[in-house]
Amino acid sequence: MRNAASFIVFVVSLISAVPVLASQISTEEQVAAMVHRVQERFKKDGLAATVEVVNDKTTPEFHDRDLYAFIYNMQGICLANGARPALVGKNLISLKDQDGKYLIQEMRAIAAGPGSGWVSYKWPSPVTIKIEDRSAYIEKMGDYFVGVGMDR
Amino acid sequence: MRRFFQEMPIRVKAFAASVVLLICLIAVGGYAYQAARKSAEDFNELSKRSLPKQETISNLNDEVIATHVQVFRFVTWASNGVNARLLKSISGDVLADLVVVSGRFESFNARPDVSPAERSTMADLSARWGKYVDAVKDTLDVGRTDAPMATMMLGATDDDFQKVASDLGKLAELAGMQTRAAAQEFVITAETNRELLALGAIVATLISFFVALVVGRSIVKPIQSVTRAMTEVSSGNVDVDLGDQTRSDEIGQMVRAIAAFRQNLRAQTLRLDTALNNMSQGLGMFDAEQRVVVCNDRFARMYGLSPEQATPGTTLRQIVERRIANGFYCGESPAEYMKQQLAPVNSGSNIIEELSDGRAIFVSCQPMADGGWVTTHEDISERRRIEKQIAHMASHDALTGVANRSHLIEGLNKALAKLSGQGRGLAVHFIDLDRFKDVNDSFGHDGGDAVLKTFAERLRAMTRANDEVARLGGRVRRSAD
Repeated sequence: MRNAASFIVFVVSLISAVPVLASQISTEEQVAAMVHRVQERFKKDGLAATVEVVNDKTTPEFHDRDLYAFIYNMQGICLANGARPALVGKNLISLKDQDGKYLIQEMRAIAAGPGSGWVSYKWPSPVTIKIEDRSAYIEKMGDYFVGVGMDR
Repeated sequence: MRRFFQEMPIRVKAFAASVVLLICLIAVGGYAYQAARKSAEDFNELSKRSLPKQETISNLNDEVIATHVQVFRFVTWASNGVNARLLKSISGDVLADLVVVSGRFESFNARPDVSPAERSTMADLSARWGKYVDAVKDTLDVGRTDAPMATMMLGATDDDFQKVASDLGKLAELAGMQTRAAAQEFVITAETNRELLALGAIVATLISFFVALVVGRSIVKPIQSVTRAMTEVSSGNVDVDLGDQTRSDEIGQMVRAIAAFRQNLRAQTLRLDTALNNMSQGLGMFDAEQRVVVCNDRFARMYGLSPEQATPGTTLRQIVERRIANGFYCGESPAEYMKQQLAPVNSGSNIIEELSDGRAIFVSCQPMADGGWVTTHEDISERRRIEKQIAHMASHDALTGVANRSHLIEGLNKALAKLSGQGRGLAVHFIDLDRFKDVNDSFGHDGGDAVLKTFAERLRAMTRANDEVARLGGRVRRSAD
């Protein structure tokens, strides 16, 4: 019975979501492009100006549907977050998602190690305001790291 | 020393034994009291310090958990559309709880009974608690505006909580170990005391037993020997060794009393023996089993028994058998005599026994209350002989030995009475010796007496055995039937 019910829900959501999603789904290229835009701004104007524009929700180059940027230092303190201003200034190094994954630590590891890469985790989507599966592209940025997440 | 102890008065010995027993009792009891007091103190220490410490830690743990639950409650409320005022209120509660718990940690740290291990655990705990407080504050702050993010942050907050909880667990374990160690020490002390007490009780018992044995022996043994001596003396064995008469204790007094008693007994026995053995009569005392109790020398001699053959304890049967063997019996036959002698003596009796050796014995028997009897034996042979002689002299003529006038008349009367009515008769010869005066005158009275004697002898020789020859007055008369 339970299997049958979940199957029906699945079918219904497919039917209703498909046309909407088609125009909303972001691509990995769009994600990487936004990261690069942050990197450029950082190089050009420095950290303070970059943080300001990333936090400012009115800047379309850093806010696009489910995409937004975030900046952390290597201690895990959140310096900027395009969707969740409440996190700014908080040390989130021990933050873990619903699966118990220490996502900030993984991001820092990418920044400290290869310098760029993808991390998958669960996070509240700025579109649905619900915790969803998301992926983020991370790049090292000076003494910090920058990332852009997208719904999957 | 040994003699001094042996001759100590019995009441001093008993007192000394009581004192030893009392000391043993007080020693064991006193130790038991001390042990019980120590146990009570240990128990007090355990319940007043170790256990309350554990309780404090347990309470602390409860408060930490309650605070953590409040954080979850806050996030739940935030995620479910609870209004900002209520959210602020619960957030204030959580912050207040954090302050209270921090205060509890500090006051626990200030306790005088915190061990170094506990103090180091407390240091870790304080650091982790600090991190937890920060995490909770961040969560509350984020949760005010961003409920989904607060939900996200719960995981990290919970991690910090787990660390705090684990340190609290460690602290509780340390305190528990302390309590267990104290309790174990308490138990070991109690065990040791129990064993020592048991050992003490055994030693005290052994000492008491030994003292009782030694004192008992030193009292009972001499009393036993005194009792033995007394039994011997009372059963007649007066020459028994009484023991040491110079002892200074109660035993010495008893021995001296028995010695005095024996002295009296000897004197009395001597007097009795003297009296018995100087009696003209034979005396025998028999018990209910027909055994000799006492018997004097005369009794034995009378029946030809040696003194050893009539000692106390000899049976009447043995005595009678020896008498028969010696020929001293009377009656039809030895068997008949034996039967008659062994018959029980129920009432007093006096009989004269004409023994086969010709003696006449006057035997008097008197029963005694205990079933025995006393018998006296008097040899009356001589008396009877004299009595017979006197009777003979009264009825016979002194010169010729034939019957006298009164005896003749008595005999005649008897015979006539016997014969009267039978048609039979008797003959009487009356003989007068004529001119006997001439014989006297011619040959003197001696000559006359010789004639009378010869005449009487000749007459008796001529008559039959049952004829009677009598002398009437100065003359000889002859009668016959």
